[in-house]
Amino acid sequence: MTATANEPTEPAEPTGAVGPAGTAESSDPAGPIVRLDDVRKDFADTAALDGVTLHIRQGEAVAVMGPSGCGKSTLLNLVAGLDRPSSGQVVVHGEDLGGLNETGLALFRRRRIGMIFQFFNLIDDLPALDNVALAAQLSGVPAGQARRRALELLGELGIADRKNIYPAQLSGGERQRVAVARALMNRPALLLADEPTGALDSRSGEQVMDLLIDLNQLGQTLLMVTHDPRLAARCASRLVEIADGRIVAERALERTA
Amino acid sequence: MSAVRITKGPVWRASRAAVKRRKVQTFVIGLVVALSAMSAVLGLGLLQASTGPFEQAFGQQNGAHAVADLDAAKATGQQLAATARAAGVTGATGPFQAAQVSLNLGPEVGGLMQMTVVGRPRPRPGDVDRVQLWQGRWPSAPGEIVLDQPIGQTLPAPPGQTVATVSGPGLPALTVVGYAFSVSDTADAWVVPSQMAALHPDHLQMLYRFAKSGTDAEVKAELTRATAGLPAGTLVGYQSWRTTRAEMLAKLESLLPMLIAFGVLAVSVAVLIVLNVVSGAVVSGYKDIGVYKTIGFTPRQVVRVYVATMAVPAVVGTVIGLPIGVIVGEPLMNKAFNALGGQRQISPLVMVGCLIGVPLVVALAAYIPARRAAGMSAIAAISAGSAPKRGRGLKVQRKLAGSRLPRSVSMGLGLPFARPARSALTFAAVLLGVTTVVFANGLARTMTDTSAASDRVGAVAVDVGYDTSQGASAPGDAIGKAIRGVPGVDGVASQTGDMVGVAGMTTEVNIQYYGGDSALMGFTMVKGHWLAGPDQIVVPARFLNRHHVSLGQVLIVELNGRSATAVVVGETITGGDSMFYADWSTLQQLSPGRQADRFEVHAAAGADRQALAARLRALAPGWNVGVHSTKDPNAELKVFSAVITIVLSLVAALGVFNTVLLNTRERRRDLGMLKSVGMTPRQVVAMVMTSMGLLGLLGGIVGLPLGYGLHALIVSMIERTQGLDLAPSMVHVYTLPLLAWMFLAGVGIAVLGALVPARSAARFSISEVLRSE
Repeated sequence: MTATANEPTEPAEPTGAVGPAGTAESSDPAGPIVRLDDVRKDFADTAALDGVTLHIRQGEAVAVMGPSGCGKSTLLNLVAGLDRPSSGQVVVHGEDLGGLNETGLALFRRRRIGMIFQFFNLIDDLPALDNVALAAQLSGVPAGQARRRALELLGELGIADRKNIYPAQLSGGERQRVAVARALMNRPALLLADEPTGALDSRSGEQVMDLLIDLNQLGQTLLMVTHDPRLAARCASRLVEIADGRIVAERALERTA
Repeated sequence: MSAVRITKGPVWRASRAAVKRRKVQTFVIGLVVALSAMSAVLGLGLLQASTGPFEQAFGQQNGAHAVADLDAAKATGQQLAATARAAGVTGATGPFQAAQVSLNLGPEVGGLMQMTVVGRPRPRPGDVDRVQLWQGRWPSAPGEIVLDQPIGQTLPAPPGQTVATVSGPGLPALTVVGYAFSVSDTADAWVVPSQMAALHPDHLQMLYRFAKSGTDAEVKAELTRATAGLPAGTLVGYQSWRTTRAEMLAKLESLLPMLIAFGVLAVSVAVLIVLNVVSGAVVSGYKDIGVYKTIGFTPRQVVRVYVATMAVPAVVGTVIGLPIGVIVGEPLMNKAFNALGGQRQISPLVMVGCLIGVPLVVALAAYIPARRAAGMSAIAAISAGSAPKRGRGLKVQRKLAGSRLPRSVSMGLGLPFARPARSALTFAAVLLGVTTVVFANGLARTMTDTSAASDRVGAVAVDVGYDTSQGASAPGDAIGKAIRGVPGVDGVASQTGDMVGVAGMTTEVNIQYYGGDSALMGFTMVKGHWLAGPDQIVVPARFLNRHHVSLGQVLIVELNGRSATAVVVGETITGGDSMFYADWSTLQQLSPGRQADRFEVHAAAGADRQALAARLRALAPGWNVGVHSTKDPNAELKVFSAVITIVLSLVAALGVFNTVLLNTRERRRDLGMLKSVGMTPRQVVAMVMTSMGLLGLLGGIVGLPLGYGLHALIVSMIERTQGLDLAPSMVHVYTLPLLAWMFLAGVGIAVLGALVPARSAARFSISEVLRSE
């Protein structure tokens, strides 16, 4: 496909099972991979985000925290191109998302972003393997090739033996691992996680946290939204606190064991 | 339930809230119900009109079981009046004076017409044969005439035109003041009784209704009993209503099977769509049912909420759709049944039936799934309503996931398996839509081809006749030569006819002799060939089937003690069951020296028929020159088929629209997720369209042979009831390109219905979906 002004540029061919493609090719390796400049997002008369400026460098793991309704998920949605800002600029991996049309945003998500949701959002009618393969198949990767890579990912995440199981028969932790595998399928430059441990028991939550740490250590840039201070403390290298749509605090973190 | 409870109770509040919240769904249900009500009225109206169509018209006019011709010289008025009180007579009107006269209605309709004119005051309620005056007024004074003509047919002379009575010298000119129709066929025209003396009446007419009239024998027996007190020889003839009925129905026999088929299709589609749309809407609301139950609604209240929610669009839709169905249906029925005259009206029974039946079907379609959900636990209802039941069609989806198809396409192919019942109903609607398209299109072609062939449309431009009683100005051969010399004439066939005996047949047969360029006159052959030499006969299909004649058979024809033998060389569409066509040489053997008294003229390519007729009239003012119409005799049938096809296709497309609307709403979470991992809007549209395209394709695969088969069945019924053999080109009307187009009708219906909700699904906001889920 030829890239147009409204569509993102093609990423480099990914290598390796786990790990971001973006690590090898960033538009500006020294610059931020995510850049939000004076972003505002209004819902009716309410400002969900108000003048947010946030830059995330490649390889960083940033946790966004704050009370319910403070605008954390809105911020994540803007970075993922799921929503558009009312004003300000959102640039991810060199792409100004404001300049992309719906198709351009879809291609951007497909190529640059991996998303993990609190409630997994797996397709219930597809077994684990096909859920993971789906993301690549939408890009036109042949089924066999997509399934091979999906199996590789499930193996990396320790659930290859659950490949033919449907989501309803998987445990919460397993489902989130499948969701992580799906998010990594296209080797995204940026992994976004919305309360990734919010629906998990503590043991499964620990496993997912370990997984995220491992991924970050392999160079995967992470942006996660959470209520859980333990998740932030264990996985993030930087903490951003939001209240009433504004960034109220920002500090570097030393990861706890 | 009191008014206060209805308007302020929780059921009402919940129903009203559901209607307000789901405006699109309510609108769609209302629209579907309106179209279904329209379709049901149309279908039931057709079925009603097709059930005893003659009897309906006959009943409306209080038709005459016997039209008796009486000799005025033999009985007094008192004697005739006494017959009305005879045993077995339940009604009588008359006597009226009647005369056979020739009216010159002008060249456009064939010039002279021989007519039975009856002197009769305006029919009153209670009269036998309440003739229906449908245009103009009844004659109020001498010099005025009303002509008998079925409603909607071309008027031979506009009201106000004066026509000449030319049967004899000194007859009055009459002004046409109106048109009326007698289903009992009692007269060709009516005048006031005081006019009759000037028209030289030759008999009296009495119209009777009898207690027993089921058979010809009963009619004859009752008439004999009624007229037993009249002097011998007073009753000179009569016409039984059974004969009139047979003649009228013969004109409709080809239409009835088609109308019944259309009626059944229309009602089936209406019911199917309502079931699909309403039950689908209730099933998609299972989540809400679960919520209602958690806050304390009883199962009965839950059912009431859903029935009441559906009742709003059901009642509004029915109230809107029903009159539209009547407005569209009645003119269509009038066109279809114009041979019987009368205003075809959709009966109040049909209207009341639809008014109650359509909302009842809606209520039933809502009640069954609502009752089922009301019996579930609250949690089960919520989870059943959140998404389609898990585990359906998993194997299919798994296989599709591994296929080489683009993923959006393979996912779309798997979608119908997630809601098999809904998919099956949608498929059935598309299937009936395709069947209607194939059937209606094929039948319209067959009927048009058959009528055009039967009427020889386009072949004979004008015909020329001369009244032998007035004396021909020149022998037939000379006239033929003169016509041939007129510019614009390409060919001339000379013609005359006789009633002849045929060896082995008990009744006389009408023989039509053709000479000259008869091959140009458009006789469509079923088998064999047209007259090509001496001693040849061509028989109409109806004659062949009635008399069991075969090609190659030799017939011996007898006239006035002479006989001729001729061989049957062909079977043609044109003509009835008691006539055939013979070569001019046969006439010379039976009636040597006989001349033609009628000529059929084939016009040269591009020649103006009216101009040609004018030239022929100028050539000999005494000739009756009639211009043959090139109008498609089945134009109304085509309109009728097109309307039915469009309505049923639209209804089917609305069913698809609703299914997609429900599917995409139920799968909002999945769609949001798919978009979050990079599914483009185009891929969403492709996925949704593929899901419905599959049903459309299956509809085409099954509907094509079904429509084809239905066409074959109805055509064979028409052939059987009419004693017709149709030419292969009229039966096998489906060409390959046409079949290909029709095969795609299902996909067309699916695409038409799915496009809008598919595009809407492609546009919805992912963040809102994921947040709300």
